[in-house]
Amino acid sequence: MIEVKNLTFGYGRRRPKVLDNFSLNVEKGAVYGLLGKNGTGKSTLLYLMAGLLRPQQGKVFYKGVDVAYRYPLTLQDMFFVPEEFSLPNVSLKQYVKLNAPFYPNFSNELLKTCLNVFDMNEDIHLGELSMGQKKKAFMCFALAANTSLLMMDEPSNGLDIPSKSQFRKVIASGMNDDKAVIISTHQVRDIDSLLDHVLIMDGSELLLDESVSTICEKLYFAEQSLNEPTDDALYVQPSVQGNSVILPNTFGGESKMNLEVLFNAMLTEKVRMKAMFNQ
Amino acid sequence: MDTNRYFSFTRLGYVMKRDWMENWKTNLYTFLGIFLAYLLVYLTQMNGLNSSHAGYYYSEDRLIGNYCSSFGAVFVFFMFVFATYIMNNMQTKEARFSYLMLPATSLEKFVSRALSVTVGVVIMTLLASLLAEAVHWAFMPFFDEIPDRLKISVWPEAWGKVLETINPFQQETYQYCVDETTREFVTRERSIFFQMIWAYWSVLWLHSLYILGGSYYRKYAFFKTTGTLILVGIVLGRILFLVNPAEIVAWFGEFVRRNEDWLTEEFAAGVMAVITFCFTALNWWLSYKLFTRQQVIKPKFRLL
Repeated sequence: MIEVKNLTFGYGRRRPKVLDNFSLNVEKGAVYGLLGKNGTGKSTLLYLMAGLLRPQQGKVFYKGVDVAYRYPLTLQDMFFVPEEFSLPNVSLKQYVKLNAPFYPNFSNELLKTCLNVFDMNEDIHLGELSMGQKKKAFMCFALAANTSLLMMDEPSNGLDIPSKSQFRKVIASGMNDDKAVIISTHQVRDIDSLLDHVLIMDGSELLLDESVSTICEKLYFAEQSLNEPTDDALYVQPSVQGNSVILPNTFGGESKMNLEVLFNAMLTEKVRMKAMFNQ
Repeated sequence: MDTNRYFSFTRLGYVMKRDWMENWKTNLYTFLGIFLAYLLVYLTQMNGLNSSHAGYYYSEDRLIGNYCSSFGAVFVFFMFVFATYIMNNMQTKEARFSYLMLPATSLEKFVSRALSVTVGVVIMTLLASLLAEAVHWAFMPFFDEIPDRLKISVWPEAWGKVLETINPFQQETYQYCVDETTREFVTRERSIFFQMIWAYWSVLWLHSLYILGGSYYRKYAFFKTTGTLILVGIVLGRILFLVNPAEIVAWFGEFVRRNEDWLTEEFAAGVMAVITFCFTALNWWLSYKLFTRQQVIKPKFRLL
């Protein structure tokens, strides 16, 4: 669906490159989690994928078309929810009336469903909402636009605790095999149950690009008490119960992926963890 | 035509509607600003008529002429100011997200903005001046020294006179000497079409420089553009001074005298009109190119 080819980008000549010869493929039918520490280039990558920045080298193709051209056919099939955005001082109905014609697959049904999940209704005025409410309203519009690709930059920032679970519900309900969602965040706990694919970035390098099923096939995530041995563990992280460990899944066991532990493991045990996926 | 890549009038309509409706507050303030400027024109004129009994020796024609000049000056001023607003909805990062991600071609988005700051301002100016015309009657009782014959509606006449002044098909009246010895003169009329077209393009060229400034500078574009133009003017003036302007003028005068059979005033004005048109088109094209290369971050020359 989206193909990032040998992308190089930096914000200044003297500054280090944010992305250097970076390549990535995003396929439809999956929710991608784009993870990384602050300043590793997650947002920059999303901007480049949306055609909002021009790479110094390389190209990004969406369904075979270079996104740098910003053709309407490309833009009407992708939606980008930035971390910070502005909404006009109009009612939601007015906003929908003015913006929905740009998206041929826009669904009012989806909009209503999404607003219901967030305990909101259509009779709201965008100028009178709090930042969190604005974010929810904008995410509802983004989902209702029914585009094949939805990109979200730190979507859970500014959402209260109930809204975070509502957000997961909304994304899950809006997914189908023809769509792809890319969620960039450093708050891994907010999205771990939602993901089908994990991308971990670190210093312009893609440390991990694997589906959740492959990760769980190769790694075993467990919680151990402090007196249990951790000799075989690839990574150990102290937790409330004792230790969160990642073990090589040589015995074909099934475990629930602990995204936070995986993320930390990929950053601290780069070589060992990468070797696991290269086997 | 492939409207995905080039142009769709339907989509342009959507972009314009969105632009106008979502920025209704800015547009309202703009309208109020123009209205206040025109109201000030009315009040200043009325105050002038009211003080020192000036109104008693004022003719209606002179009054309309004064309004015509003021209307024209205010109109030109606002056209130049609002030309620098061409990229007003790209000022903040959030606004750039919104506008750049809008599913329309760059040309449609640019044309929408260009129409807003040109045709949109013309419409707003006409409506604002009409409103000022209506409102000025409410102030009339405060100016009791104005004679009744000057308490007239000036809006249609003043704008009519503006249109008359800029009409390129008007004939210029001049005196022609038919006999040098008797000093006999006849009054003749001649077309000043090319001179007027040159004058138009000169104003539009200056306007296009403000369009270009508005596309380049994100904040305080009007002041920055004016400053840049003054600076460039000083530098060019200095260069011209260094290359001895008197010599150039003398050479040009000689050139005109030798070729006066074909180098008529109309011909020269026509050539200048074409040159200024080309410069105007160049500025608009550069402005469009700057827009197509806009990014979500502040563009640097290196990235352009």
